[in-house]
Amino acid sequence: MLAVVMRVEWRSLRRERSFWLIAMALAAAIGFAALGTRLEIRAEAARAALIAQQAASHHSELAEQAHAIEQGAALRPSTDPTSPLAVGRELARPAQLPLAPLSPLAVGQRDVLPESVMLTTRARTVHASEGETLSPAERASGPFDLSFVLVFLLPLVIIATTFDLLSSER
Amino acid sequence: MIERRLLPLRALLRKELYEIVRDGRFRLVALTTLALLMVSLAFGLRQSTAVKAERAAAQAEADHHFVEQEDKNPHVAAHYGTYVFKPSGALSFVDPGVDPFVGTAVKLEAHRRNAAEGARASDATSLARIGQLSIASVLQLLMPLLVIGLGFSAWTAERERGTLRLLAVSGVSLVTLLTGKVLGIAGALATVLAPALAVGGLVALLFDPGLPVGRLLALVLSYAGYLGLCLALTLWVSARSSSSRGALVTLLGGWVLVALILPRALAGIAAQIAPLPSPAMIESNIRESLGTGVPGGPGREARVEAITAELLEREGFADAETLMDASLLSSLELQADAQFENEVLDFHHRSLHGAIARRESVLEWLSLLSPTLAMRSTSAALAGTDGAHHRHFSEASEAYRRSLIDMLNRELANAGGDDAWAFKVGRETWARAPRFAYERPSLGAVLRERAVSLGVLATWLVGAVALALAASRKVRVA
Repeated sequence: MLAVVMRVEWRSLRRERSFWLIAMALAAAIGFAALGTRLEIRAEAARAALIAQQAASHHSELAEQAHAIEQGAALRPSTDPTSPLAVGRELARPAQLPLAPLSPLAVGQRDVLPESVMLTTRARTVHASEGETLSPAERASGPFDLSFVLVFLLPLVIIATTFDLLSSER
Repeated sequence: MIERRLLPLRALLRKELYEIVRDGRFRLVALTTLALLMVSLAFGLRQSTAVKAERAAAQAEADHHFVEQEDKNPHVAAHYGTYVFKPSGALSFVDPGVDPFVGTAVKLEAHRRNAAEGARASDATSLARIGQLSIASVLQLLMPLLVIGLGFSAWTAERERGTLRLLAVSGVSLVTLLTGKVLGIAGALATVLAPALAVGGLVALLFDPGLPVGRLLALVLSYAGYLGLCLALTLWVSARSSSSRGALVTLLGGWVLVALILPRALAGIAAQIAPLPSPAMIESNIRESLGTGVPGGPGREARVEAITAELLEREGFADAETLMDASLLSSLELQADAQFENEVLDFHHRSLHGAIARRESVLEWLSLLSPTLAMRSTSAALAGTDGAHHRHFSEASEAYRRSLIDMLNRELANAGGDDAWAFKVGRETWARAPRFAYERPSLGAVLRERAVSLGVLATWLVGAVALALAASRKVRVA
């Protein structure tokens, strides 16, 4: 009996043009959210790689300068590479927060909190600026990710397709 | 003559108001909306007052701490630094804007330009991303739903009851009928908004006598335009729809698209069109340039030498450094270093601000697709809580940092004598240091900055009114 009712309801639903419009809109929203999140994750990975590369390059440069100074070269770099105190304060090592396995599902607070921290011997509070966001208006809007589609839009779709299921029969 | 022409309009207005007020659903929704506005006003004022007091106290504490610091070399004091705190937006109790997502305290010190720290969002839970209850969120998201609720059946219900045909044959023009409906629905909305505006304005002035009335009026006018375009679009859809149910479904679908989906989607599109570097990348680039010089320019050593030569010439000691006091020479070297650093910072920050301006421009033009996005941008700008106000404060704090460091370096130059790094000063010098006094951008500057968003709202309003008028002239009466 249940199967019969389901078949009847499905037949009447698929005849409604609005049902297909809503289904296509939902599919488009899911596709847009998935694409946007994928692009953001790719960009984040690229930023992390670039920061790591710059840190490694800075490290090599300081090592070369230290070696040259020890050999007697008359160098006056802005950071004394032979001073552990100076190097500790200036040579930053990046600490990158790795992405969780289900990161593509929800951005969460990833766009509000720092994705990487540059570590030196200075106190942690000095690096609080890593949290500074350059596009606060977008942070205020919130991300268009799969969790937004599932939490906000899917219930609206369900309401739109079923609000008159019983009342229209009556 | 005019009196006779206004008779049908007055009768229509009375009829519309009577029908709306008689509807029990309107009373319930109106009371709920009014309660939401009052609650968000109370929360907003409480939050804004608490934040204002907190930041004023923090600034006083930082200033006191700077003045009461121990005797030390002026340049050591420049490294020790101080803090400045961003005042809350002029009308942050109406629209908190991006304030929860940006830092509030800036550490000012020699040789570094720090970004603002202490954003409230970084300490909040993920629930904060759902949204904040504020007057702005009620007006931008919930009031359009009330407008839809009042107006979706304005034409269709008349047609379904058969009264539209009677009105049409009675000689009343359809445009007069439209005007009556607009005034009736606007009157009903006014019963909700007017008390909130009156009470809110009075209480806000009591809390803050220095409230910027100009910005508040501009905000009221903007929201009036926004709700006006919502009303015009509602009446247009109602006139074009064959049934009340169809009109309601169309309008609710439009609300979901324009108010919920498009603001987020368009922000994502703007991010792809005009990407920004990360703060960590910017800091890394600045660090590199401080070592090697501005990209495309001379290296650090060459540039610092050139600046030092200019400063020596200005002080009258060109090629005669050996005749200078040790303190004066040290101070000139520090000033040369500071000037070079400022050139590097200015180069990278100009490039960054250009990128941010491009992103914001893209988003503003994309808001042609969503008046809610344009209204959000305008509201935050007038409330003083948008990204542009934050950057204005950042620039002001940087200008103050440079003047403070300059003053301390000059103190070393003028009074240090031969003591150089052994030279110390005390409270008298710290007390003479300039105080940070921040002035917000003027209303004119804000309106110029947001000209595109205001233009988008005006375009939508004019277009919606034109559509409503055109649809009313051709509405099916039976």
